[in-house]
Amino acid sequence: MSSAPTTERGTWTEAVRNRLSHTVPEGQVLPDRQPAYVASWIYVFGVLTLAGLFVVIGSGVVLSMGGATWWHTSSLGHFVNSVHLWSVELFFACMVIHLWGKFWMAAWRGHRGLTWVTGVVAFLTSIGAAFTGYLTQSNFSSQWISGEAKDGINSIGVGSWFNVLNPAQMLMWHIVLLPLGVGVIAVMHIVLVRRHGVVPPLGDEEATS
Amino acid sequence: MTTLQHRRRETPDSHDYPTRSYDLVKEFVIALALVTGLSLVLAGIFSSPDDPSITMSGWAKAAPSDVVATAAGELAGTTTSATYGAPYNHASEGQSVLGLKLQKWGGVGIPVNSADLVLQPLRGVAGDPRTALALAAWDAMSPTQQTQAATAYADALAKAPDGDPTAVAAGNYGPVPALAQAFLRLAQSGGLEGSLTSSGTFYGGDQTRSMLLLADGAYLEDTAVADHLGGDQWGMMNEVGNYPGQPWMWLYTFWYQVKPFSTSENADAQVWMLMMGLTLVLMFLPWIPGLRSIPRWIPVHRLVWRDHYRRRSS
Amino acid sequence: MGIAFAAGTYVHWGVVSISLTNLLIIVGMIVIFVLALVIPFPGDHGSPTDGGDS
Repeated sequence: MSSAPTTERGTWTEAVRNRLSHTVPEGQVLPDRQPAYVASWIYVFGVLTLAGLFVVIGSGVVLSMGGATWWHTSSLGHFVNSVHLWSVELFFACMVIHLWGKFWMAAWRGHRGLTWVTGVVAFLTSIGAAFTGYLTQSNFSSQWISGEAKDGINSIGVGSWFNVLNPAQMLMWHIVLLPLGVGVIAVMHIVLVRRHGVVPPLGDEEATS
Repeated sequence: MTTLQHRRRETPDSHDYPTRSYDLVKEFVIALALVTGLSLVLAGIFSSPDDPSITMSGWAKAAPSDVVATAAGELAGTTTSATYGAPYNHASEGQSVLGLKLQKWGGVGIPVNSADLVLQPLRGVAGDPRTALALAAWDAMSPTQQTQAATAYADALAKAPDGDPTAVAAGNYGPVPALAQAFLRLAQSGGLEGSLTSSGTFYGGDQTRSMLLLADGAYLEDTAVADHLGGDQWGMMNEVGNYPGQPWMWLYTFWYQVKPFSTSENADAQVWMLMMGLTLVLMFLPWIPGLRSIPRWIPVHRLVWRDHYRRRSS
Repeated sequence: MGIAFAAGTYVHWGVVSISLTNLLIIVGMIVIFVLALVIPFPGDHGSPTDGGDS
């Protein structure tokens, strides 16, 4: 893996550095040029999704400052909650349009299967984050959603550990565990896109000899 | 994989193509400004719903007969929570799918005694001789006698016009009517708030027992159905009022609307397994023959790369 | 304590029942998807070169 001259004893640091530096081709972490075929508005929905994630997390950070029940008693808190809700709707809308585009472009071609997989996992993890968010509203919707969801989760034997009737647990999943999950997977997804580059057009394939 | 029938088509390296200038950072900043602006505008115009929680006293004031019936049902062991199975008790094997008894295998990790949902708050009441006497009478009965009396009262309530406790037929119900009425009084007074959550611990945080009690009544579901949030109303997708819901849940909730799931006792486990399968199909689409070729057969991509194809052919 | 919100407006078609808001969101997404495919993207539509500028 390492092509750089090594010291007599290869260090862990060197190994990690070499691994990292080979993750993305040289100059492709933040390139200022793209293949000429990247010329369609469909391509902006990935970055719109990422921007949406930033606004979701940003509004979530402000909500965290006021606390879990701030939005019930403060009009500013309620407004921030509204920003959080609408940015989530925009985030999901852009992510799904991005998914549609990537499907019709068969964007998994050229060893990009893992990019597709991480995208799907990001989608699922986001659904989980949104779900725990709905449980965290501390209002009637939370009561009803938790009462219904418990039946689904209990039916597959997971309810003892993932207790949707426990807001103290669901809040932590919503603000710590699942955002971390979405963030890590999003980073992996974007690194993979930079690693392989944007998928070339369908029909440009060459037959191997 | 390379076979004798055809050679594998290799996708070219994207880095081998001619390039054009493309400012990714500027694109991100514009996207961020756009999404931030849209979020602020939408939030300003449409806001977000905050439908107040159903409190125990609110439930008791809006639907007192429902509270009494629920209390009787908990004592009789006939409520949803009392007959649930894992993770709350062993009363039922719960749901299974494809012969897998997943619910039962999960185990009773959150033990809840449904009768105690009623009895524990009542035992905490001080200075009410009527309730103390009713509790003493209840404790003096054998489990069989308790079940008989409570079941008889619950059945009688169901037969009474509008479930009105004052219109119940005379019968041998033991201390059950007194216990149910005491429970209603406790709820109406506000004494039940937090009683099943933080009683004895101060801080609480886990609403499991309070929610199970509330969900054992009809008022919670009636309120939800009036808001079009019921399970057979595509409720998983919906929000109260005209607010946007969760459109991405469309396929998950769809199955609950159609047979065999709509009439199945194992619907939750079955729908979960079906959706897990479909999710895996989506995830591994790149490797599924046929499905992965749909983009070639239906050439939406010709719109995306029309400039490229035009350049290539000229 | 009563029902704080009246149920929203719902569109029914066979087994399908969808809120007007959700329907508008989904239709809006499809419209935006189609527009994204057909609206020309700004930049050099001629032959790009490695040294070209958009």
